[in-house]
Amino acid sequence: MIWPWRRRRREAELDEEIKGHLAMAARDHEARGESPDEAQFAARREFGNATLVKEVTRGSWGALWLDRLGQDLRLALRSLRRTPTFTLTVVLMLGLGMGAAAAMYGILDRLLLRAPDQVRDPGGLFSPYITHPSHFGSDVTRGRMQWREFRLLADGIGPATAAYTEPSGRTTSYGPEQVRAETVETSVGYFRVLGVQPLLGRFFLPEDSTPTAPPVAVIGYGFWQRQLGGSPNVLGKTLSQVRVTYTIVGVAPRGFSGPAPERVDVWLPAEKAAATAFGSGWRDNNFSWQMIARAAPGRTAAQAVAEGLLSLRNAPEDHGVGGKYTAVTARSIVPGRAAAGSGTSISLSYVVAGAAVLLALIAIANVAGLLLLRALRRRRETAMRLVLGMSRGRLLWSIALESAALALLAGGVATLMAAGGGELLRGLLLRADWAVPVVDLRVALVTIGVSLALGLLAGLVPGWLAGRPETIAALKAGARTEGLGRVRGRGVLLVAQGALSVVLLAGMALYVRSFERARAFDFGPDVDHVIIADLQEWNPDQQKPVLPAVYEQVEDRVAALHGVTAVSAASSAPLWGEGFVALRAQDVDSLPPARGAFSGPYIVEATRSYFAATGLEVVRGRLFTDQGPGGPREAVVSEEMARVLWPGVNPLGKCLYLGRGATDCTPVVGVVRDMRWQLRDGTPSMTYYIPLARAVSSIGGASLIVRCDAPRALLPMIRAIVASVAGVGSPSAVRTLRDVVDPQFRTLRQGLTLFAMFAGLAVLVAMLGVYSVVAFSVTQRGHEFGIRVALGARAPNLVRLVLGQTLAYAAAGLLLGLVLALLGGRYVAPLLYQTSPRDPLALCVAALALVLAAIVASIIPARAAARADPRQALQAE
Amino acid sequence: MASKDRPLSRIELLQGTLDLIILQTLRWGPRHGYGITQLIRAGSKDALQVDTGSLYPALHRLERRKFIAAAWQTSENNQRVRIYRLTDRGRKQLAAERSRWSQISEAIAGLMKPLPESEP
Repeated sequence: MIWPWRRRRREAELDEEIKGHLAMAARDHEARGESPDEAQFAARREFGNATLVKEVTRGSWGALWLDRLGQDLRLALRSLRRTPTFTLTVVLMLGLGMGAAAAMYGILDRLLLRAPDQVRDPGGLFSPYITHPSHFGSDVTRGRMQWREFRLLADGIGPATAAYTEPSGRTTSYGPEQVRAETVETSVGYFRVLGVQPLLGRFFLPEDSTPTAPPVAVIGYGFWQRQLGGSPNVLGKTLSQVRVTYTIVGVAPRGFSGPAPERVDVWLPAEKAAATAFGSGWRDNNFSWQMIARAAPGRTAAQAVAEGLLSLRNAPEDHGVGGKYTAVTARSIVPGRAAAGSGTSISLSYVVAGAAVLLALIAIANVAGLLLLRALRRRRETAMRLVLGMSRGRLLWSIALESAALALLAGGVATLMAAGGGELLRGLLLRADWAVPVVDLRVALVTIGVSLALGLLAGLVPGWLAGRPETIAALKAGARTEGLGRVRGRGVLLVAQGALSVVLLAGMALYVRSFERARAFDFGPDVDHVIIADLQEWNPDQQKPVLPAVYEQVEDRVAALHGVTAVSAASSAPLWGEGFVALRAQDVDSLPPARGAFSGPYIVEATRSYFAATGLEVVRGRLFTDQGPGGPREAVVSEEMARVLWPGVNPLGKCLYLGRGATDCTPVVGVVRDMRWQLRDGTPSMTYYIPLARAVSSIGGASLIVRCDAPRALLPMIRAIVASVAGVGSPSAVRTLRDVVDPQFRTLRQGLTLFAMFAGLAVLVAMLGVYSVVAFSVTQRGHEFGIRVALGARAPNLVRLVLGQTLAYAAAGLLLGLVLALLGGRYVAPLLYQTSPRDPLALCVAALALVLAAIVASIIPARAAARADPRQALQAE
Repeated sequence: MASKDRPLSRIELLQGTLDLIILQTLRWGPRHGYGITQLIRAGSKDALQVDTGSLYPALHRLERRKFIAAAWQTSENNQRVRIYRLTDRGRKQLAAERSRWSQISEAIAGLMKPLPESEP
């Protein structure tokens, strides 16, 4: 190629060259005695049309190059059009693999490498991490701290500091509706430090944290849109959490979720909300606060955190963190630059990205295999071209062009797939409301670029392999038959595909096992056969007890429904409502500290049928008698409660004292099975039950617990009854217990779905690969098969021959894949549920699935082999 | 391009042979374009006369394929001239072309032999 600026110089040079030619010719003529004029004229005549000469010469500089490129490109496109199935397969396969990888790249890019959306000057923002010796000697560095530590650090670092908690799903009510809203508690400076502007209303002000200030809340854009219909007059409305009512004062802009990518529905000022989440000792009793800060003008982050360390060290006491603080470091809030621990959605994203890369690799291996087959199939043509004098470079060039055309098509498809799939994956992976699509221009360009590079690689390597002298020699020798092993590349690609598919299949199988185990988790109550209903609008402002008459009426009507086996009224529903009253227990000085998030002790005031309705059986003693307000005081405790309060002692007959300063003994008469609120945590809660008729608490939200065979079918009828009798019309007031616990299965279900998706695609792609290779081999060996038949081989022998070959590759892939799966297992292990990443059953199933897929993929070509015609083979001889 | 006013004795060059001839000519040392035409003419006893319209494109093409290399020199008359010389690649190419040429000419010579009497 001649660039324009170089061209001008060459034009001048050509002029000069021709001028020189003419001058020399003229001199020769003069030397023969002609006059200068005559000589000039003769030289010109001899030279001919100088303009034309220049024109033709210029033509040889670069136009040829362009011409040839155009020609080659046309040739490449024509040859792609000639084989539409091949072209389509390659484009779709590569598009699929690259698309999946690109979508995950887009998500990880956003999650790990970019600053959070809507945050001003993210580079100036940092998170302080505290280092100190742990109780066990070695140093710990943590980004989570006590509120007390946050205050001390803030004193040193300066005013641009804020603390916040991770989002946690809290039961939130607004009007008659009740939902779980992802809630974050923050210090009031949070929005100011992040530098974000409200979409509506205002953010927190310093005065919002004073004891007398009314509680306020800021809601997220997604929550506003989904739950409040995007109503513009949402400001001033209220929402309630754990008996505190907050006035909505602002709406955050679209896409804003604080420094973390996960969705936030509600932000509450720590001073108002933390006490309900962590108890009155919230400033010291938990390490839930993360911090963001900006250095004061003129100071670096390092200087700022050094001041922070001083402030921490000068604090009078260390509140049991183990030792003196040794360091405070500033880390980027962008996770990829912070090297800090990350949430489940990020670790799941890593694993899924791994799966996407595997799928892309399989697709690429497959495409390379297909291109190799194509190159082999064309060997005669290639050899002919080489014999006719085409240079090897030119041949590779034409292959490269063809591959590039294919790769660009695939890149386009990949970008489209990534754009669609990216949103799908994001929805599956994250609870996030992003304002921008996963696949933007940058991701699209990277996708197309990588596709192009890979396409060229996948085309050129086979092209080179197929054009090697030995293959050409084979052609010249007139060889017709050839085993699969002749060109190593194909075998290697098949084995690689098999291995990668096994890894994905194993991942899927592990998730299936996890999911199975999680489904079998015993929450305590029979979650598949219980419906719970709130008989009271959950509005703390106007809390009035549910009238016994309403209870009875609802109870009677529900009990009359077909399929209902037990109905109970209770102060709170299992796994849904938590009730506390001041509690003292006989022989116990103070209650031991809580072991888990939902460890109680919870009070449940219920009718006797509660246990029949929930399926919580008595394991010791008996149930309370429930004889109305005049009946005896009696309590039933959970196994965990008995175990914690009176370890190794018979709990029956022990006294509970309910209510602040109570002295009346409520004897324990029985022990019932445990209730476990959380799948992951798995610890049972301490729960005790007393007759509803002798209720001691003023717990609102009286509930109805219904046991039935088919909860889903009964749901609408019970909703109608609750609406007409109790006047509670919100659909969220009546729900199955399965729906209550279902969100806990979310990450497992995500993992399962994603792995099933990727493994399914991978197997499909790998099967196509096996099919094409085996089918090709069978056609190549048609001659050999014919001769075998002529020598007495029968169809089953030939089928066995073909399948045997496939199985040999499958076995090799299998072994390699299992090794890879075992090595990669530790990355998924934390996401699985009570399943070892080396679970033998899961690995066996994955192996079996691969073998099966390989057999299915080679059945059609094997049958073709079985039909080999001996006459054809012999005639060809 | 054959035209009427050209002497009949002039031979139209076979496609591709010009390259061979240029390379062969440059084997005796670097030459400029005009020098090459003169040498070919003299070498073929005036039978071959190279058309400048073919020569310069051929030179530039050969240069592009790196069979020959060009450099500017100042002649004794203070005239800047472009001198071409054979590269190693060109030497190899020349050897290949020569053997091809001898094959072709042998083949053609074979074809031109008077046919033997046909046997029954």
